[in-house]
Amino acid sequence: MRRAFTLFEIAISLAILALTAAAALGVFPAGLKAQQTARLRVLAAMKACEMAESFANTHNTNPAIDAEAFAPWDVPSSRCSMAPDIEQRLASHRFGIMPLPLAIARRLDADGDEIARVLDDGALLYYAQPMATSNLEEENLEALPAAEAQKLVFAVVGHAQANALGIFPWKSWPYHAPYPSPPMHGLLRDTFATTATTTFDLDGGANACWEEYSDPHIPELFAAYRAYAFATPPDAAGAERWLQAALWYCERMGLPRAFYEPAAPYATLDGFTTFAVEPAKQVQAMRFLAHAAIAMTRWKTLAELGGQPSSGGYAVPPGMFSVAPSPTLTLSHDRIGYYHASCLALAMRFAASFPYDWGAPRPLQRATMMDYPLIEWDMFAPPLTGSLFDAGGASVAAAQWRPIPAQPIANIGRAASFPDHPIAGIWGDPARFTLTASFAPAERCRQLVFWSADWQSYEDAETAPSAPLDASRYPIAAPAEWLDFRARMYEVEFRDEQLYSFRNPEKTMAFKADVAGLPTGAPVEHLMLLNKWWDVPQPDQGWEDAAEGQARRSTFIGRFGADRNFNKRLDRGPVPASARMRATSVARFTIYDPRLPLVLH
Amino acid sequence: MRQRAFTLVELMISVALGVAVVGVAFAGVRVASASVAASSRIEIENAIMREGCLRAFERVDFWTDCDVPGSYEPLRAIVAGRGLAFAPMSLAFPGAAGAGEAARGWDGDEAAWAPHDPRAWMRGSMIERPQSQDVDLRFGRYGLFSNLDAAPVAPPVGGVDYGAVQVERTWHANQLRGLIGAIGWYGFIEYLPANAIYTWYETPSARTTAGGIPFDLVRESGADGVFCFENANQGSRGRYRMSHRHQFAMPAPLAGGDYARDHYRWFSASFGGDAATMRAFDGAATARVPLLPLAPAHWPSARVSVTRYVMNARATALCRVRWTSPLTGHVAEASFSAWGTSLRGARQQRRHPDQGGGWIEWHNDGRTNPRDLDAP
Repeated sequence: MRRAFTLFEIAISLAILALTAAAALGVFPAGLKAQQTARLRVLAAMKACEMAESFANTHNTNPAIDAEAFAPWDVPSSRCSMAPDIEQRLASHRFGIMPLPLAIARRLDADGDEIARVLDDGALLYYAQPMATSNLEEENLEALPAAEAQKLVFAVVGHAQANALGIFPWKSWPYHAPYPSPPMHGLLRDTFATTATTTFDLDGGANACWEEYSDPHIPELFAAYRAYAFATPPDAAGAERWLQAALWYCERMGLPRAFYEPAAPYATLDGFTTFAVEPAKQVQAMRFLAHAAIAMTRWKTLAELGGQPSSGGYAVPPGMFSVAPSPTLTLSHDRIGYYHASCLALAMRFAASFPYDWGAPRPLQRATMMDYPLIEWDMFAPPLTGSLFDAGGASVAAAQWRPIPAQPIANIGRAASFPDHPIAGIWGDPARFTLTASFAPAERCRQLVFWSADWQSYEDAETAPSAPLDASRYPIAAPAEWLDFRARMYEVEFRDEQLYSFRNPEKTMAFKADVAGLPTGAPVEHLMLLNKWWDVPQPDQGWEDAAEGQARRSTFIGRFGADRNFNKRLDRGPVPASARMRATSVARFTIYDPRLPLVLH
Repeated sequence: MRQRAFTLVELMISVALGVAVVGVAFAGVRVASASVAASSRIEIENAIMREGCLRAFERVDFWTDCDVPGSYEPLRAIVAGRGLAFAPMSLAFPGAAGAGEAARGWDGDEAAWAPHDPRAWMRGSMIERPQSQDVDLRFGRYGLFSNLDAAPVAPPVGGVDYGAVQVERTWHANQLRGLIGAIGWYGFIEYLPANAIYTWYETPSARTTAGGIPFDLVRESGADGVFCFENANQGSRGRYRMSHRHQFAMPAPLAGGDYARDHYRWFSASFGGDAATMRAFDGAATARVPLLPLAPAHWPSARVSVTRYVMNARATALCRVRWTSPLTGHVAEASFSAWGTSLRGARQQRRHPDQGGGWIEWHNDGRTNPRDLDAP
């Protein structure tokens, strides 16, 4: 008998139909999700490109730090914040990436616990700087729309490498000097110095000619220069005395008459084989001689100097110096030209031929990457040990690895800042030098991993403290006789525009005071640190995130949080801090991680 | 068996099920509609963002916001004797390059600027400044060794008239002097080696130091058209020191500013600047171009901007893609700095007008390549 569908059958059919429809509807959000992921991938690609560009192209200068001391732990130049490392370089207030507060980062769950593992390894999770990575002054930028890239968090996965030293802390080589020039002189930091023979006041401070510590003939030479250069007014006799001293120095270096009084026609001296004297000494002798001889053009006419081409010239009499008088010389216009050309040629050739001979400064007219020696730390030798300098007598133990240069450094001399301290007994094992060793590409590759996570929806997205700052982010002043360690922490200039590696990366957005009591949406620009180096309330007490006091230290570490979307209002999201959040992997990029501090210009 | 009608219960259940089905279907359609709309919106935005990103990279690589050969060439001009960024060197800095000191005209050959070539060395006194102990030339006359003029006539200093000399080295000074007025200051900085010191000597005058360094290179004036901006007592400087406080922008004609003037002007966009100077910088250097001027009204409006400048020695191309929702007015932006073709590279992408202009097709197989904008 033919029977109609039962109600039960109809109900089952409808249920199946409904499930099918619901499943079909579920596809639509998946499509939405795919589009959102596609957007995040584009943003991640943009950010990765920018990071690669910034790493290769942004400058790495931090000229406002003390760069050398007699112990490597007493200046910030050897710290990890100076490493040519992508995270250290870019995590600053101008170069594009900011560490995500650890309290928030710990709440994010990624596949395979990858974020947790990154954090457990001591690395940080980052978010994109809200303002464009322009390096322009933040507070003057126009009001910003929402930065889409802030929907991403990212990390550098893979182990950091033992990078080359950016600055050799015992002596911030290369020293650059204009050629020709007198012996280098300047402010004397080494107030411990006991052997300084030529200190003098200039520009409001004690100056010294530090080169005299490396060469016993320099003091007499420099005395003649100083008497002329700082005389008011100078005179011809002073210039002549300076020239006589330079000639005397040539002889003290063992250079024969043919070096300083060659016969015409004058061929530029462009090598170190003509005279059997150490190349550095030839460079130094010609550097001083050229400078002194050119000074004579202020006092003598072309006719007195033999005309052009020169015939005869001015007879320089011998001058009295210790050991022996200076040699006589017929100074001519053409001979001065020979000195100048030879001075430059010798300096250029020396710098190019002897990168590990520090017996003469590098020519300022032609600074190149070859001026910078390759030095790395020896992490397998017993470290150097000592204590942090403290004039107050406190003794905090310190240690640092030993340096290894690519080649033994000849004529290392003394540091300009601390010339009374010899540089000795510090080297590691040259057998462990690896900077020039061949390597497989994989050894230098790390990954940029991007996740999507709506971290800004947390209620404490802007009030959570900054991620922990490595102590190397805080510069300290180099030792000085009058500085206890506490004073070294505030006797240091916080030059915002010049200290990218030594601040809280969130510095410009960081709050100077507790904002917890402010309502959501409250304006906070007046509470932000920004970059107003010239506009601090008490300039004599240093910058607002430097020096002493709990408030300043709190500001430095970002204790009160930061305006992390830079809209200059306090934002709080709806998600409680107790909730965990899923971070979805968006993209991975393999990057080359160099070991040398190189910048493309 | 007598056919029975539906009971009321059955009818009510059926109606209820029907309502449920219709409700589910309606909700489903709504969800689907919303999802499709949202998905479509995001898809359009994604496409706009991708396109904006590509356009920005294209501009960075080909500088088409500044110069499109054959159709848009506002920066080929020479205004008041000074060239703009795409002015042919044959007009802006004429002369025949060569190996000798007497060669004039821009020499862009890398070998000409090799660090070991004595012709390319700066030979001035780094301590010679407008205000210093050397104002009396106590360290001597460095203009004797390299000079703009082969026979400079120096006035007496302190009663000593040195006399007329023939200067051997004139190429380096003339290269710098010619370049600084040829393609704007952005180009001047970008074209010279990164380690260059921006100084030359010329015949001393009231506009130079006693030795002959032009005040424009070493003395602060604050005036437009004067290369040196600050720190009067600093002497000769190079790329970092000249760009760490003030910046040199690549003026964009599409920005709408006085781009001829802005080619020879510095801006305060770093520390020490203010909102007004930042606006001036932005107005000179940022060309905001609509991405899709003919797009449907329901699409987000979008624009792409590229800002080029030199700051802290770094030549930056800052790209921004910004879109605005037509419904909510919500504005979003993706920004990134990019490393692309330099100005010199862009000029070498372009065929010299003498050869018909247009883009260059370069050959790397030994054939002679066409002349570009840098050709003498």
